[in-house]
Amino acid sequence: MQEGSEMSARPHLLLVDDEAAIREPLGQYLQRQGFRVSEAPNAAEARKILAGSAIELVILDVMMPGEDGLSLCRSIREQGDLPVILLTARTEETDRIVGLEMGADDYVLKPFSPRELVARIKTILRRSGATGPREVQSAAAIYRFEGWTLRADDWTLTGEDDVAIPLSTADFRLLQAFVTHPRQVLSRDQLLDLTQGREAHAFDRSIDNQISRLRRKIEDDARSPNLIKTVWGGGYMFSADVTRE
Amino acid sequence: MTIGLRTFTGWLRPRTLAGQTILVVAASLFLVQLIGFIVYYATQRNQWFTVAAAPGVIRILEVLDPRDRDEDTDRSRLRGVLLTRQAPPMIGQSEPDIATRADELFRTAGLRPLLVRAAINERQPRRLSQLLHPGQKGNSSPRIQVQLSVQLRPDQWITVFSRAAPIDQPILRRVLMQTLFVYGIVLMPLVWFTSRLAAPLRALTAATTRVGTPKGAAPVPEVGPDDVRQLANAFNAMQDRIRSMLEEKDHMLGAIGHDLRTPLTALRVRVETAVDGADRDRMVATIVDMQKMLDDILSLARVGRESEPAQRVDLAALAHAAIDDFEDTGAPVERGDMSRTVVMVHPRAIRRALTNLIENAVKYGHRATVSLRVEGQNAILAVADEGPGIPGDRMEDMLQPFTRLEASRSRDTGGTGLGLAIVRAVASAEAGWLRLSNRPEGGLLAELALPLAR
Repeated sequence: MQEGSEMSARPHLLLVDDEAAIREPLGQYLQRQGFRVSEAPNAAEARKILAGSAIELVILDVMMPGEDGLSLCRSIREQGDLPVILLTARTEETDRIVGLEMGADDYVLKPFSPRELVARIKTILRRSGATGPREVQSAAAIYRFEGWTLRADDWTLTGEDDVAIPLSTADFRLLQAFVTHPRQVLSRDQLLDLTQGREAHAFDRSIDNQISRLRRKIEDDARSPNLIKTVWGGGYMFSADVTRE
Repeated sequence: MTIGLRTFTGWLRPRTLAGQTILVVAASLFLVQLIGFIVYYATQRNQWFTVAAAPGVIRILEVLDPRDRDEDTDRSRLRGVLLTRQAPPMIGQSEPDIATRADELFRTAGLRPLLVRAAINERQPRRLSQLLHPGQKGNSSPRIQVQLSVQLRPDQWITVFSRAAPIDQPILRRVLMQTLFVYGIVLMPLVWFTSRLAAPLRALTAATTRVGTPKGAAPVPEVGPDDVRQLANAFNAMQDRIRSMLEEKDHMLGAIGHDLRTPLTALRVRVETAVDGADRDRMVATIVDMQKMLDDILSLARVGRESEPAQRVDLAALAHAAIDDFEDTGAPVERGDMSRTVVMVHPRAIRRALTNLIENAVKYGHRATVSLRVEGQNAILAVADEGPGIPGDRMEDMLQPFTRLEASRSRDTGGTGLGLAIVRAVASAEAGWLRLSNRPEGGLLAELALPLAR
């Protein structure tokens, strides 16, 4: 009835949270934002809904009695490519790391802004399919390329002299986008998408400005770059082999 | 040279328990050895007087012996014996000790000489090398000529010459060898014992410096003598209590964080879905403030409890990165002098601290200027602003949690009052310090010092 003819246009979300005080108003809000929402108070209910309907994205609370969100997230990931956003109240790094290693696509910290959550949902739905197989950007990952080590947990780039160079938020996100897509041409739009902040962080600088700032930090000669190459008419390409730990 | 000397005198004055104990025992032992050898040497010398005096005394007694006298024996008997009326010249160095001993021997034999004189004449002066290494030279040890002159009657002197071996004891070497031997016997067990005593104390010291750090201290091994063992035992018990208190605190803060976040989230979702307009924005802002305060409380509680080890970090790059972040949001932040300076820190904690300082400067001081310099063993990050500064008597208060200047308590500028407390906690966790001062040209200057990496 409510779904009717627009069904295909309204993405079907599954919201899993044991707190009715959050789940119910959030469900209403998401419906008003144009999503079709199924709600589950626990992992068992969630599994039933997942088995019975074509869910396109799962919003999952980490802390739940019984089977917790991380465990459910892992089993969803084992079964397929369904995007997951974790809701977490804990800021401990270990949780972020575990959450993303479990295959979550994103996470929001409570108390989050419902508007921000909607923005994330839209980004992920747009991204899935667009950028192909997802590269999970783990908060604990260590990437190595050309004598450099990029540590995702404290946003530092370490050179061969073993001295860490902390990166700005924008520089880090840009470089992380590159090292997770080595030897691929990335358009400015794709880079914008990949570097979009977790927090609503407006970057004044254009991608081009950010690229030249980053080049000054990692290139031997920023005027003839070896690592981040400009591709005519296409965008940019990271032209080094990256190993991930 | 001076360093060598200092090391040497330092070595002579050890500071450790083991070193001092060993030094005292070694010094006492050496003294005892020395006394022993002085006594021994005196005895040896005394004996040598007898040995040196005896042949001469026997010769003289033979000459004077009235029994079995005949011409032949008389002649041979008098060979090498000098009879004079006057006191004969003494050849060599006078030796009253030998004379006294000879006199005693004569008296024992029933002779009562009026005067006894003795002298020794060493052909070769004895050298230190011979004392240390006797027998090293090919020839036999030098013999000493002993002259013994006895006045039997006022006008009758009788003189004989005999030879004696010198005291041929390698005195010094024996002193050294025996001392070393005794040291071996006494000091080895002492070294073992004191290290057994000192090792638990050192472990205790090392553990004490780690109490309250993220990893905490490993339990101290309970070894050594009973009293030391009890100390280690008491320390371990204390450490367990501290650890469980810290864990309880973390657990409680985590629970507060979680339990408050859930209703805050529910509130925010309800506010954003149910309320419209300016009221909603104000309510959301309040919720965001509460969230920030929760985050700050949790950060303050976790300062210094990083699980990662410290790394070598270029502080200038860190400052540039933090400034870049502010510039990207359009905040008025300027760069002062900054050149590559390597420190050993947790970059995330330092970045958080610097961000707090810049945030304060921008919020209360209109504009932040960040600079970096090296002073002695410290790198100093300075954040200057152009605001009103802080009254001198409130400086220290400002570092306490939840303290704000009255003027800044208003809604639009008021922070959580935890920013500077977090900076100071980070500074001390990284072995540095935070100092606030008013700049002469106006505005506040916040300086964060961190030790340079070695």
